Order: sequence, then structure tokens, then C-alpha cells
Amino acid sequence: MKRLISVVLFMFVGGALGNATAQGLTKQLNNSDVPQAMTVEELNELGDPLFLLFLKEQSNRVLLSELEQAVQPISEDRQLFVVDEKIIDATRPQSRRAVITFQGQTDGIELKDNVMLSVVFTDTEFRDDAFIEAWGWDEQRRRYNYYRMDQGSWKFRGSSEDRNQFGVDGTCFACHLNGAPVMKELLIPWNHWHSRSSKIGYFDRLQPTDKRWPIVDDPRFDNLEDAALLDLQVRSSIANFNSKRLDSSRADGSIDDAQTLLNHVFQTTEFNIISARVKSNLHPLSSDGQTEPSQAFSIPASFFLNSAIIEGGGLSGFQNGFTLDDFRSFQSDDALKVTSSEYASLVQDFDLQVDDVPGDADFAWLVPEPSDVDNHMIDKLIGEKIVPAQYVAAAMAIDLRTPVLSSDRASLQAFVPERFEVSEPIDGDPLNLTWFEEHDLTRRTIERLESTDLVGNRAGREFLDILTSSNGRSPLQELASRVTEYASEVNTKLSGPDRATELRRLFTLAIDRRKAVQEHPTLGHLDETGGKLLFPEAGD
Amino acid sequence: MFPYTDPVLTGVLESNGALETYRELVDAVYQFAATDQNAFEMLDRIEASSPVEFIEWSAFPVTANVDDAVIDLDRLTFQDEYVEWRVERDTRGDVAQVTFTTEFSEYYEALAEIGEAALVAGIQGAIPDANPSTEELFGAGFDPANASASARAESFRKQNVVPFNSSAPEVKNPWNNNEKGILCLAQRFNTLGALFNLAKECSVPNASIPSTGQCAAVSPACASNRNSDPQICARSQDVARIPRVLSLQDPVGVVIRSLNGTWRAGDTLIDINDPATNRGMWSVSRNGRRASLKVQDGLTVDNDRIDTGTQISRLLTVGSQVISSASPSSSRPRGRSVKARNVRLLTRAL
Repeated sequence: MKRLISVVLFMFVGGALGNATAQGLTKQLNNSDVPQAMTVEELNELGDPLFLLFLKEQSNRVLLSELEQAVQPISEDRQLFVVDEKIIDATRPQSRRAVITFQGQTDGIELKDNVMLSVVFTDTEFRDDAFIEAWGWDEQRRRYNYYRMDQGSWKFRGSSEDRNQFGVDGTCFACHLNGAPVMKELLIPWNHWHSRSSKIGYFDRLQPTDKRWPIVDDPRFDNLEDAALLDLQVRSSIANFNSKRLDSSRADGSIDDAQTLLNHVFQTTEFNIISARVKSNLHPLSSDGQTEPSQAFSIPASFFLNSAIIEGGGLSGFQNGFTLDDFRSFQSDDALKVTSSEYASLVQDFDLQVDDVPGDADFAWLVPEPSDVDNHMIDKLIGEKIVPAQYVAAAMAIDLRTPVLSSDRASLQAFVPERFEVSEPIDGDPLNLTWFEEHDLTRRTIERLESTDLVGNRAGREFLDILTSSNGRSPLQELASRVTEYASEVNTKLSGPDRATELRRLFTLAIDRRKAVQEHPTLGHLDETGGKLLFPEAGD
Repeated sequence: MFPYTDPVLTGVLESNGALETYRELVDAVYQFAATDQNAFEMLDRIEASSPVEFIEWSAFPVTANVDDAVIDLDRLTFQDEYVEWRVERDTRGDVAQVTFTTEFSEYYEALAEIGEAALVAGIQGAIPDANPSTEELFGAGFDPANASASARAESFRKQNVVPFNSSAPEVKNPWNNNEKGILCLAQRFNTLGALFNLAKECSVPNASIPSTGQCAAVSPACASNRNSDPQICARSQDVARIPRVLSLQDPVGVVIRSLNGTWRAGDTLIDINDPATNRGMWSVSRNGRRASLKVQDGLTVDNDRIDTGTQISRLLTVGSQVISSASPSSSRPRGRSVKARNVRLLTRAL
């Protein structure tokens, strides 16, 4: 109890007495901006662990080691994660990106999931004066604060409240598209990360010295962790962020920024990257000398549809999904798996290249998938009984087969009201059909659809039909019917004489989907390799 | 014989005269795994000061293509990552407590060999208020007082662990089938023999394929679609190829490592892994082989209420320790002379 009290006191004191001592900290939202001195008022709005434990008093210090020591003096309570699009390339010299996270408390402030650093290291050293990117969660103000240390000084780079900066080139929010932490390869097998699925040999201290990088003798590598743990931390961070956003959007039984929240239902605001759990063994930088995957694999269900919501549960763990399991059972059917030789042929036939060299990603069938930040918000909207599950089912049924960047689904957001009233379903069931039919969001959306000339607007007409159950089926029944039909269709093609053609069609879809996110004006920011390394490209 | 340690460090094995019996049971699986073809070694052939590392995996049963509630209710079918759990609910149906175990039955079998009283003492070490009947422990009609030591152990196992070839998984002991409690791993793939068989097969150096492909290559000893097997297999293979010799570190078993997620009691952030501040809501006991989550004070994780044990399993990391050295110690030969024990050789693939 004593420690809990100290948290409250600390935050109160921080706010009351002001943070004006952070004299080395300037404000710079965009790389192109000239850093500006921060006002006392602006400093007083900073309450994250990074600021409270370090920048507030020590913003003139720029060494990574000083920052680590201030945030968590106990080195065992720091964690190191490593990512790089060339991570399987052991040649030297090279550099890698590290993410440093913290456990436990310092001065009564909870660190876990509340502060992370991103730095670059080489095969021989962590340069203590290299740039540092960092974020901290301000529990009191329910926002992420972003910072960067470069050119010898610390800059405040904005917060998740700076919505007008989202997607703007030159800002932290070029990549943090919703203001939340981003880990693109979020779920197993974490392509590009050091992980339990892909332990990096040159980081292995058991290897002889000629096979490991000298950097592994750095004490930070005592705490080298696998990406699976960062996955959990980032998902917790996103869940926390979304929940707080939702809380602050509720006012007196209504949702006032419906467009923003329902953005996650209709749009692809971010993407994650998923693959089969089997290595392709075709990466051009791999030294294994293999020519195909070591075993047959299942195509990820989220390649076919938004499985995290449509199925629910599973690795993503969303509790309010629709339990429509057609593609889940699809995953365990050996006959539907892609064989090693089939995959090697596809990679060769499509002339896939990584960094202009023939080959494939480390793990097979690497594709964008619906993001955790979008799906978590959908799950939360249903679970909190803000949006009827039947309404979400209607949206999911539209362009079901395009889980990422569906222009049809995106076009429907125009029919979402700016605000709507929220009522509790009588039986507490978010799938309750009467509640859905009488829900303010449903009525207002239908009103907007009916008052619009939908001639030529196929998606709009379809959405209206599903929302009004014009064919006698509830939206969930309609979605279930479409999922079953879809799974059956793919199943039939992969099980019959058209298998090779179907595999080529699906692989073409995968390649097109990669291109779509890379060429997207905002999502494209998430590829920091200029289109060369994040995804394999098809040849001309 | 290597002086294998009581895995739960309670001293109950020793105080009941069962420690030597336990050691014989464990030594048998080590001897089973250490072959001339692989890099797996008996522990007394590896210097105790050699590097030790954890191989970790998620407790979530990734092969279970069913809903979380079903995974909770059908432990014996789905909970196959060397972690099993029991969910207790209050009168409203809300989750009140989730108890996880990673203990292998061999611990209790050793006690059963000594006698019923020793076994009950061991069970009460895990479940303090347990008062199991003879029938619950050994089955109807079994007379432990007049049975042989091996018959007691075998009867206990039959009551508490699903046989590998069972088509209708069932555990009859209510203290281990969730009715009254959970004692040790019971799912047919979660056996000590399966763990050692995995290490045995995966530590045969095979440079012709990537180490991540070794799991598929030694199927069905290794199941590629699980969380645990591929990690154990690939790391065993990596170490074997360096080349080094390796073994499962004493005390052998699966350890509950950490519970992730952002936890709150009401609006207050809780460091769930810190016993000093977590209000007793998450407690890990028995040397990391048992853990309990008490849902109280408005506990939430990632701002969600606790609805199932499966939900918690997604956030739970477990692991097994591996020790390795550049070469085997020459001080002691590989031993084969201990009393022969029946190693229940089990494979993992479905």
C-alpha cells in the first residue's frame, strides 16, 4: 500500500509544482521544424515515466546508459529486443534496431508497458550518443508522449492527442498512425525479429567467437528476449490505449466522436504482418542452402478474411468475435496446406525478390493483415455494448474477402453519424437482434443510407440490405452464410483439379496486397525500407 | 546416480522417504534420452557451472481451434503445452480463481510407491485442504496397503493421467480432474517422457536442414504446430550443432516464468508479478510449478475482465531450463546400471 500511495503523491507533486526544470527539452513535432523552447504549461502536461524519471531533471543528458539507469537502475529489469529486415544476414559490419523495455517500478512508477526506447546498435557497440526514440504512457492524461534524442539534445515530438499530425511525414505519427505503439510483425512468427521462432545465431553467446557478433558481450545482451514477449507488451499497450480512448469518448450515454471510433470498423487505419509459421528457406540472405520450406504449411486465416474478429479467440484472443469457424478448421486440414514444392514453384514463377535479389521472406506467405489496433477497438466496441455486434457483422460482410484496404467497406463510413446514443441491451447480449434494430447507430446509419441516392453504389445498397435484413437473415446469419460459402469455394478449388490455378490466384492476391499497403499514402510509411525489404516483390 | 533435486523444493519427498524413488524415476528418463547418437547427456557428465538457459513458450494451446470457454472446460483434450489449469467460479458464474500447474505425475508416483499416507502428504502440499479417499487416489477396489509399490504408482497414474492412446480422455481422481482440484499434468501429451523424447530426438545433430526444420523431421516426437515443441527442438538442435552437449537442468520440469499484460485492481495499476505489491492476486509456488490467480478487487487485464483461464494462458510464459557445455565431463562415465524403470515413451503429434 505504501508504494501505491507514493505513485499518487508523485504524480500529484509532479503536476502541482510544475515541470519547468526540463530546460534541455525542446519541442519539435516535425523533422522540418526548428526546435522550440517548451513553455511551463507544456512541460506541466508531461506525466509519463520517461519524463518523470529522466527528462524532467536530466534532459541535458543524452547518453543511452544514463537514460537506462534513470528509468530502471536494476539492469535485470530491462529487456532487449532486436529487429531488422536483414536480421538473418550474419555478415559484418552491420547495424540493428533494438527496442528496450522495462519491468518493475522506479520511485513507485510502474514501468511495464509504460515506456519503451528504440535505438540502433552495430555489430560491435551501442553508441552511447546515437539517436534514441522513446515513448512513455501518461496514465493520468491517458496519452502517449513521444520523444527523440538526436544531434545532442532531447525533443518532445508530440503526443497521441496530436491527431492532426497522424500520418504526416516527418513526424513520429507517420508510423504511429493511431498514436499508439506499433509492432508490425505482431503475432507469431515475428518475421524480422529475434524470436523463439527464429533465434539469431550471431546473438548466441554459446557460439564460437567467429560465429557471433562482438556486441553480444555487451551487458545489455544479458537481457536479450524474444519478440513473443514484446508482442504481449505491445498488445497490452494498444489495449490500454484503446480502452482509454473509448472511455473518453463516452459522455452521458452517447458517443460523440463516432466517426473516429468506427473508423476502425470500416477502414484499415494500420496493418500488421503475418505469415505461415514455417520458414520459406528461400531468403536470399540465408546461409542454410535450402531450396524450399521444410514442411507443408497453412495459409494464415487472416489472409482470407478478418479472422481475429470473424472467428474470435485464437492467438489474437478477442473475446467478442463471431465464432464463425469455417477458416479455423480450414487451418488444420492437411490437404489444404501448401506443400514445400508448390511454394518453391510459386516463389520462382513469380520471380520474387528481396532487395532485388531472387528469393522470399524468411517465413512463407508473408502478408499484411488487419491490425491489432483496429481489431481491438472493434472487439471493445462490441464488448462494451456500444456498437451492436450485428452492426459489426453487417460491416464485416461487405467485401468480406478483402480484409485489408477494402475500398467498399471504407466507403460506408460516409453513412456513419457523427454521434449516437448508447443503450444497454435488455439481456446484456451484444448480439441481441432487437437491440441492434432499435439502436441509435443502426437507425441513423439506415436513415443516411435511405436518404442517399445509392444508384451505382453497390456497397451502400448491400450494406442497407444487410442492416435491414431484407433477405430475412440477420446480419450475423448473412455473414455466416458468406463465410461458409467462401471457405467452401476455396476448399473445393484447393481440393480438386484447379488447385494449381487457385494457388496462383491466392499468391497473386498476396502480392497485390503487399503492394497496396506499400503504395498507400499513409500505410506506406510503415515500410521503412523503400519497398525493398519489408515484403518480397514480384519481378517485372 | 545424479542427486536429482525435489522439483517443488518442499522437502515432502525426503521427509516421506520418497526422494530416492523419485530420483530413480527421473534417472530412467535421462538414461532413455542420452544415446550415443545425440548430444543429450546425463547431468553428471556436464559440469554444474556450465551455462544454463531457459527455453520459453506460451501456455496458450495454439492447436486448439475452439473457443476459449471450450478450452477451459476440456482440459484433457486441449491444454497441451505442458501447462494445465482449473477455473473456479463464484455463484454468479464469474471467475474467482484460476490455478495453473506444470507438475509431472512422477512426483506423486514416487510418493505413491512409499504408501498412501506419503501420497496424501504430497497432495496436501499442493492442495492444503485436500482429503482424498483411497478410491479417489487409486480407483475402486484397490488396496494400497497390500499392494506392491509399483502397483500403487501404476494405479495412481491410471487415476490421474490420461493414457497416450486413449480415445476418450478421462481422469477419475476428482483432485486432479478439476472437480475438487488440480494436482498435476494429466493431458496425454504433457508427460515427462514426451519432454525427454523431444530432447532426445531433437539433439541429434543434423546439419542437412535448418534447425527450425528439425521438429518436422523428427515428427511425431515433435509437433510443429504447438508452441512448446518447436522451441525446445530448435534450441536443442542449435546447441547440438555448435557442437555442445546438453541436458535438461536439475530440477527438471516446466517453470511458470511470467504473467504479462497490464493489470489493474479497479483503476490502480498492479505489477502482477511482484508479490510485494500484487495483493496476493498472483502467487507462484512449488518452485514455479504451480500458480494461482485470484480475481478480486475489480481485477482486469488490459482493461478486460477475467472471463476464462484460457484468456490468462495467452499472457503466461513458461519454460524449461537447458544446461550445456563444450564437451562432456570425463570424470564420470555414462551410467546404465540403475534399476530399470518403465519410461513411458510418448510422442506428441496428434
